Amino acid sequence: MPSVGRNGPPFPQTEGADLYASSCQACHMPDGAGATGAATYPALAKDPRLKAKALPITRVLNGSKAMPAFKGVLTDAQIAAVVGYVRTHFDNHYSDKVSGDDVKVLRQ
Amino acid sequence: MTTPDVMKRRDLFRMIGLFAGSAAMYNAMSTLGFAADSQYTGPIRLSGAPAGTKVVVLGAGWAGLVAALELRDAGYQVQVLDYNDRIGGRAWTLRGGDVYTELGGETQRCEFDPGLYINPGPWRIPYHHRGYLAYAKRFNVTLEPFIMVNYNAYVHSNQYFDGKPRRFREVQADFHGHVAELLAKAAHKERLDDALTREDQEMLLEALRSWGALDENFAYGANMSSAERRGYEINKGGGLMPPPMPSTPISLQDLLRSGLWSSLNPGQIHQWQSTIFQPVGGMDSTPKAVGKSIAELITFNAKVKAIRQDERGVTVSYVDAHSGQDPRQVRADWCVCTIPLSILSQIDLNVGAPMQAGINSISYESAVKTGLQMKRRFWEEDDAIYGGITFTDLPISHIAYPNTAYNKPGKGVLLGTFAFGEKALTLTGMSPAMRVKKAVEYGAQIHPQYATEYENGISVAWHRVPGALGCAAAWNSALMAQHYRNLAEIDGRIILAGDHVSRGLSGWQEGAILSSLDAVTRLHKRIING
Repeated sequence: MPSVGRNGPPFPQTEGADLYASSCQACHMPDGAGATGAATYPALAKDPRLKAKALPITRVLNGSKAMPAFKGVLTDAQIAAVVGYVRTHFDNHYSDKVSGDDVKVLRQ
Repeated sequence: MTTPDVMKRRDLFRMIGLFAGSAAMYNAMSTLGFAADSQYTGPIRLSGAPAGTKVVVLGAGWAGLVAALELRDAGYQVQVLDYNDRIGGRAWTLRGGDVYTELGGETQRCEFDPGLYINPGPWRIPYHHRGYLAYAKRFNVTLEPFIMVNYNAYVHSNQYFDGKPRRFREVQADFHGHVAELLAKAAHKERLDDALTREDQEMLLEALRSWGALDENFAYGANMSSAERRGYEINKGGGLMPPPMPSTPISLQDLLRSGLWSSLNPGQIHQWQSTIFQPVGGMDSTPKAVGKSIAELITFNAKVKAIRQDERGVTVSYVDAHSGQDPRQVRADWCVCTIPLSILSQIDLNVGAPMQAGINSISYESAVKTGLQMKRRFWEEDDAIYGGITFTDLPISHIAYPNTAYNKPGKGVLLGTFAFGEKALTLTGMSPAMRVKKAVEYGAQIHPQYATEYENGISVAWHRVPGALGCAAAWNSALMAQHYRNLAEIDGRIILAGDHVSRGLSGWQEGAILSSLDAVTRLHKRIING
């Protein structure tokens, strides 16, 4: 679990939208469209890979290639909130709930 | 209590490692002489390239420039491709008139006055980065001091001292003074008897008095002795000016709780110890000077799509970086690839599984820098801060003052944000205009003059830099053990170079230079010896 330092947790936000803004949209962009330069940040909008919640949860926990792992800086509840947000926004319509326990079982 | 000389060195390292992570471990090892200062051993002077042997170098940042220069000088036929339209990679400078479009499509135009700039990437050259210094000397680049520790700059906590900044000299003097007083008390109460002989304790007490500016009773307080370290309430003067008056120390409790003590440490770390340099006029000066002699070898705006090797050579496929069209190929006998792993992990590449696993396993750090032009150099005129860095726990993390043109009238550019980690990631998610706005808002909490003096700004968030997709490779000791050697070894006809293939120099120009010197030396040997 993330350690809480003198200045509070690394990401103080609790709501999915706020967590997306503070930790995801740096790369995946405010509209989830991703971006391409010398390489690509994948779009999260209209993304069929989000159907099974385990994939985005695992990505956020462990990272992938240049994407950093967030397991050290986000709690289970925060990851559940932000994954739930992405799966129900940006033209994604996967409404089955993501819970902190879903994250907990996938956290190594 | 255990004395240092009976504590096993291994235990000491373990203890330091537990408290402060691997960076501290490395620093401790440096201090005790186990890790080398710099591994630069002088110019490499390769020679005797087999006639007609061609090497393609991917990237025209430091690693690519060094590889291209040294291999060309050895007699190889060299071609360089770079995604950007300029030389230097992350060694980059933004000046008035520059236009920069980040990922996501937002374009900023730098509005700085002539002569003013920021270095969005690397900005410091330690005295022991001897590879860099050798190239700067060889290509006649003029250096000037970069001020890392400024005793009159601020350390600031948003939540303590009513959010008012304190001077570095006050915090350092008071922290040292209080700690010296405590240790002296312990010695007087015979609490150090297990650790030191009485004779050694007498010497320690004298050292503490001198180091901590303690009075004759080994106390730290408001007196002329502490004022000589932390500064005076009324400074020294002449004639009938009022006599000097000492200032009042901050309490140890407030220092500890505010965490201001942590800002005393960076300047003591090996890579930030004095003397540190910067090139006069901007960080791009050195790569530009080095690149001048190989300019005709470089193809800009080349986005590499595939690097495919076979028994006889390497084929690099690329397209125009802007249009994504106009596919072309370069065929060469060998390839030196300096493309950051953040990008290389997405390129079609046929290397062995161990190297590919390494390429796919390293994430990239986040960093944000924001430059702010001010109508006047108020930090000098009002606050007597000449160069150096203010440390704050606000999201901007640092305010850095220009280390040049001191005491001149006119405008100046501050580095109004230099953030890493989660703070940087959150700032990166904002639009450039919002990042600049936040830099002004937060900075005004430390320098209220921002409100009237700010003119314009520009912000670079490294995860949004199209040719980088991140600041630097985020190595840790576990990743190092698993992947480092596999990334550094020659794979068929391909060798990787760059700061990401350095031990402990990720994000440093010296890392790119040493990595490249080592790579082309080994590659040349392989080519010559078969």
